[in-house]
Amino acid sequence: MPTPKPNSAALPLAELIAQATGTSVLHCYQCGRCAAGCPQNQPGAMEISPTRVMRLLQLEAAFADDPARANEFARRALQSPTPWLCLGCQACTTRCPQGVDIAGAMDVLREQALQRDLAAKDRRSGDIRTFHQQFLAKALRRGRIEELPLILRYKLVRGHWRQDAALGPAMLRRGKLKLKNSHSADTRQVLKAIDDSRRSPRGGP
Amino acid sequence: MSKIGVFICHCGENIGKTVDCPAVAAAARRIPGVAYAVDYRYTCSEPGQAQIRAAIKQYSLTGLIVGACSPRMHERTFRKVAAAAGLNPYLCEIANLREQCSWVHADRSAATAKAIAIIRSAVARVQCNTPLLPIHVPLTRRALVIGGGIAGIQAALDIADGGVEVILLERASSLGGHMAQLSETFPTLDCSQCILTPRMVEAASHPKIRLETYSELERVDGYVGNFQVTIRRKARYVDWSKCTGCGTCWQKCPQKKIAAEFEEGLGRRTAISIPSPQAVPNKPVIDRANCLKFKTGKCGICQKLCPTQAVNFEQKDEFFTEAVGTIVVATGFQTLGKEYFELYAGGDHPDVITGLQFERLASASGPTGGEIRRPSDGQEPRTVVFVQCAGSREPATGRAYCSKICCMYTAKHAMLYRHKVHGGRAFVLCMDVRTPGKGYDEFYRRAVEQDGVNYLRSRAARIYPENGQLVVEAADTLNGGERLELRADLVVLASAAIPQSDVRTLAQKLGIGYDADGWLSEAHPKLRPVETNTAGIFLAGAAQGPKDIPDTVGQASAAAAKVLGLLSNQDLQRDPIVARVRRMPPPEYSTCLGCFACAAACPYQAIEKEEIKDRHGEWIKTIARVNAGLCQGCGTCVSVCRSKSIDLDGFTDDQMCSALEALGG
Repeated sequence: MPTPKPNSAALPLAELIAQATGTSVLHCYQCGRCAAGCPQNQPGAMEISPTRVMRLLQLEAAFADDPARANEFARRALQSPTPWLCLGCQACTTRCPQGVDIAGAMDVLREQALQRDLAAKDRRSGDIRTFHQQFLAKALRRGRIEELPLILRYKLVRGHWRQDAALGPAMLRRGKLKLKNSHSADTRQVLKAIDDSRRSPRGGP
Repeated sequence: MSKIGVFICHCGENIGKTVDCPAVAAAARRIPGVAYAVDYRYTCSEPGQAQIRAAIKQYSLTGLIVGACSPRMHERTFRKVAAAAGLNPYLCEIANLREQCSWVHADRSAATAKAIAIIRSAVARVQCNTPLLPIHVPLTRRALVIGGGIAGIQAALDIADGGVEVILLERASSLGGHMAQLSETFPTLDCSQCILTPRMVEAASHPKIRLETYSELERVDGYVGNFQVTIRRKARYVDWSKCTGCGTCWQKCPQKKIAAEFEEGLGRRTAISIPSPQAVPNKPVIDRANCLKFKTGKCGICQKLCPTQAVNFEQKDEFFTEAVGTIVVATGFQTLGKEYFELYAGGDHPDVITGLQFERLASASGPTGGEIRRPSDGQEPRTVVFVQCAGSREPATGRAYCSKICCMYTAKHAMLYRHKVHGGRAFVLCMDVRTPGKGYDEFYRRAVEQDGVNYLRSRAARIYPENGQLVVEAADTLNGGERLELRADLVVLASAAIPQSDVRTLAQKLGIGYDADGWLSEAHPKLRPVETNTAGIFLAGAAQGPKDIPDTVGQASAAAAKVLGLLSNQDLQRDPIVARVRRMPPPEYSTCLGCFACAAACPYQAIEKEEIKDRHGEWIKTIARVNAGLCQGCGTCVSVCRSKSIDLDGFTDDQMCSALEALGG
């Protein structure tokens, strides 16, 4: 779990995204290119498109002097499954004509959703969020991911014992799942790098 | 017996491939009245032309037919050839064997038969041709520019710099028009006054420009090159030849609470006043409706205090007539008043203002000295909502068009507001943001990205006052059309640009067209954008349609170029293809009955009334007469004439009927 930044809840999300990514969602001119190219934005699959998420963030900033209304727009962005469905493929960021780091914004939204306890509660988002949290927890503790314990922890939390179970033997055969724990050569150095990046002005993981 | 020469051109293979040209020439030779016929590969080439010249002389030809391409291509060429050989050029006709025969047919024998028929028809026509002489129309090397806004100023300056004398007519007392009212101009934010006033002064001091402000066009007679314009110089009640513009009168006038037109009603003026301190000429006029002297007979303070005795309550409107060769119409536009928008706080709320009013609020020379203060209580507005497309793009209320300038000036307004009121919030309600122009989209994005202007995508449904604020019912279609109520301290309507209210009267005086909305019509939307359908009258600026300053100035310079081009001739020479009312000897004089159906049909106002009188001056009858200077030879009058009294030279009934009969035979 990333450590919460001080007072970050008081700042509009647009501001937090600007701090984290160096780009402003206020620059979005709603062309829709991110929504058009998002591989997760399949018919019926995404309630709120990335373009609409950008708009909600703009509206939060626009109504900054009306906190009730601004919070409502922020809440809808944070509660939407969209940040959790985001694969981080960066297609949107790469293509955005205004140079907005949309995928980076999704990172901030995930982080803030967890921090404010607003993350989407639907089953699919919950699965992804759990995986996300377990992955980060492991990586931040040991500087390295081991597939089998990660899968086991995920299944433990979500209870999906049979999900993807059939893939297990094949993955084992091909050496994709290692039964023996492996450690990073120098865990301390990896953890330091993560810590450094978190302290940098562009923000951490 | 006529002696007609026929020249059949192969046009390389264009005609020769499909039409048997030697056979056509041979057939032509057998047509009665044809003295000579020959075919040639390229008749338009120099040897081809030499052949024609030689034949005209050798056979003393009385008519010439060139069977070749379209007359649009080479009629002029071959008529020149005829003239060079001493034959009246209007005795030369083109028989179109290319566009109307070889290019549209495949069967050689049928095409050849059709070509022969076309030649036969042309021979019959040419036998009826009569020699015609070009019409020379004298020219007055002088121009009238109507309207003293930026369009009129620019046109007048360009024409005057070309060495032609200009009368610059303006109905307000000062030059400047709307541009003088603006605060800053997009997309550079340079001050409007700073760039305009030097031009106003330049126009006023130019030796070739005669300024006629506080004057209006009364009537127009004549035609291209020879207009007589009657101008009404409205009574100013101040003798401008004595007035020095010292300002004593307007400082001392007791009537100080009159809503100032120049300030769009946000400021006050006196009964004797100048519109702004930058007025050119800087001389006042008395507003008769508000002057105490005129209302009660008592006062006359201005007259008593004037150091040069310039005030004259007895002054009357003056009328005078000037001769000019061309006219530039640069009468501009106006904007819809807020009273038009009943749904927007009843159309009379002090804190709902128009874009032009906001210009005055933002202007350093305006009623608030450039501070943004709302009219109701003078407070600085913390939230301003700008409503775009107010009255534009709304066919249901009569205007389908886009006013073109509002997107940009709204971005500018919102930007100026954010610069002037720190921490103030600016919302813009828009359908689209249209920014075609150099540096325009960048300007709009700057308003959003740097100056934090919030754009919401919807029209304002309704605006109503509540607790000292205005509630604006809006939505954001970019967020699924979700309804948003905005609480504003000030609402600025980007109200539609509309034509001047009296533009139709003016257009009728000038005999130029206007569209259903009232914008003056150009002769061709793309290729003749500054000409009107009336020769010698040109358009500049927003009178033709909503336009920003760069477009206006560009069109004004274009109109000036057209004026200078026209006036660079010694006289106007025109093709004599004009309509003519048939005359006959007394006692009939003419079969014309004087019904003037032709006058109603003529698109060029070329039909005049002619009174036929006997030698004692007794009236006999009134018949129509065609003004050859105005007639464009369209033939509309010929077709509507019930008594068949009008004919079109070069296309007479005789010529057309003979040609058709020959085709049928």
